[in-house]
Amino acid sequence: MTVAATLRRAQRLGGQQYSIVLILLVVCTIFAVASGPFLSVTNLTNILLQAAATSIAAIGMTFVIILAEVDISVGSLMSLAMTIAWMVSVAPGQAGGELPVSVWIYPVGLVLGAALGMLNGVLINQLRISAFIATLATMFAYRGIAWKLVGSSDKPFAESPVLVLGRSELFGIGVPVYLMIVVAAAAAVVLRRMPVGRYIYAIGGSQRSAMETGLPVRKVRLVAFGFSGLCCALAGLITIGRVGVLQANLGVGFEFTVFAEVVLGGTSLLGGRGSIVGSILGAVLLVVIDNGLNLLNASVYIYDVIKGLILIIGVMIDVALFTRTRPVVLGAS
Amino acid sequence: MARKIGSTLLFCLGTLGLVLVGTSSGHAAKPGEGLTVCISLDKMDSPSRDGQVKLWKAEAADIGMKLILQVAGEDAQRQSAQVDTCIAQKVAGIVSIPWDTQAVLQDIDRAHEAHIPFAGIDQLPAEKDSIDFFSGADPHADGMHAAERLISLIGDKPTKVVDLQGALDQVNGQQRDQGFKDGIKSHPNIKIVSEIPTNWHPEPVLAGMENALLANPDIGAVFVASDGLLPPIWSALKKVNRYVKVGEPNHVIVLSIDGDPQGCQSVRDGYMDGGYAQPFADMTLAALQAIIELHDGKTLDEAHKVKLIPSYQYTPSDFATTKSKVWGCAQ
Repeated sequence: MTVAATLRRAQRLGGQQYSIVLILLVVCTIFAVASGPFLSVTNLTNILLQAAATSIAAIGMTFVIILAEVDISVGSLMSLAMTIAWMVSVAPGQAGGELPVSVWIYPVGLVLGAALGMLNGVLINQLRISAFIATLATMFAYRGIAWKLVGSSDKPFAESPVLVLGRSELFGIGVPVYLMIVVAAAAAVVLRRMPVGRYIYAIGGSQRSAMETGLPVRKVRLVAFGFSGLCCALAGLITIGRVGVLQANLGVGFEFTVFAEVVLGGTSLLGGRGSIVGSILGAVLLVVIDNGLNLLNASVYIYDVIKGLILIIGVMIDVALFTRTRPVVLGAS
Repeated sequence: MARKIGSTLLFCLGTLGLVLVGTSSGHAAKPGEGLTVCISLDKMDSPSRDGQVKLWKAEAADIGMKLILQVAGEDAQRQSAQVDTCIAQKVAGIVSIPWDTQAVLQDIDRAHEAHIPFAGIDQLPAEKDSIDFFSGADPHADGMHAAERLISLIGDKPTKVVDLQGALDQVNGQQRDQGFKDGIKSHPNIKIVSEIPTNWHPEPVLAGMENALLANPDIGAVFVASDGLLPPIWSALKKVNRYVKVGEPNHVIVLSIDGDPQGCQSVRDGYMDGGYAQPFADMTLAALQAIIELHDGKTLDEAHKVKLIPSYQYTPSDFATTKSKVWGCAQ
């Protein structure tokens, strides 16, 4: 098969995933050559564990971005959901030191995450404002409410159920990795096999056409934002379980990480195109970069430079090789 | 009847006069009482700022001063606008923890144009001569002291160190780190095997510690620029069964700066070998007193315009006597 034919085939199959795989392979090869422990089983499972929380958030964000919307409140949403869940589930009458937290933190956190995500959708639907403006507003509001409720001191956890999710292992692999796989599989099935998934692609491709053909745009928006909020809450539960503390700055800057993962994974910011696998590969790629640079003891100033460069390279490869508006590259003059 | 009303009115006025005279003669105003001071904070999402605000409020209540608290949310332009608001309110003075140590110079100029004294704490502006007063810890010295503590604990033993840095654009974190590096410079047995940029967030600390422990399972020490990053360090050490107390086999030496509740608890419980508590109470009091003096028209001696107060070292062995100086132990 010629290169042009391979690229045409890749384009049909969703070329954006090929570019991220290509970059991931190149980056992994470089780190494997430069650092002995990089390819060890322990390190590879470490990478998956470290990518689990942001991958799950990226899966939720993929729904929103395929819908041609955006949610920049994800970090603040995570913080507020975890804060309220912590308040509800912490043993009453205790103060200071490490606090025992009951299992209620899981259902309360997840329900709150979904509810806060849906609130974003409600604001967009009812106020008829752009998703960017609505979630910008809630980004400030959610963060502010979280700080107002519990202040900015740390909330460390004693050995309690909240740590189980983040720290347990099954067959030597962290439980968050299994959760990531389950959420990814469920999300992929919803997107590809269920009507709501097809609606998301259709609405993201052309909202006007979708409305004219009678698709339930407003309901689908609620589902997408609610699912994104749910994923953020799950990512939050994993994060605080792994770290062992709820900090006031939980999720600060999180939205940029999640955007980068989704975009690297080939999801179009214009909507209508994207995949769950791509977003997970994007998340893994960012973790691989941090991991590899850690192992090499690279200069602390180089991390963001490398990430920025790879983001640009990823988009360039995507545009150059797989975008339909570039037939010359594909060999079809 | 008219005479009765007149004498009653006279009695009431006389009584009121006596009360007013009694009040004024029995209560001498304390220096600074009744002044309104603007506190311009760079951010509010850390235990340090939380602790500082509690101290501001306590000191101000003690003096009888009114505080206007402004939080810039890590945004220099927002902080600048908030300073303008304080100037418009004609406050008696402004105390700032600048987010951007260069941008704050313009804020200082505008305050001076309005004849409002401007003091800084914690983060020294880029040009120290521009400010009326500054009090803060000495981050470079704190890092050096942590290095000295490490050297005293290990002697000549070869030791691999993980260096967890703060934000790369924040002077305090970088100076602490530089101080630590300068402190170990002449000790080739100490080797930093992993430098991790954390941006003060716990997630990169956890991932970085996990990666460092994988590449170098024989890590002997960790230097961390802030107590706020301790929980993920403990989490990573627990994972490899190295979360053990000082003096026990497999212990990893941990040295940290801040003196927040996490640091206090870690030293008290015997897991951390040395903490360096920032002198927040002293810094707060010094800044407010400087504002009072400047507002009263006094000039501060040039030699005392910048007051660097050393942090307090506290360790598991002297915790009983040093804990009173650790602000995080009192919160």
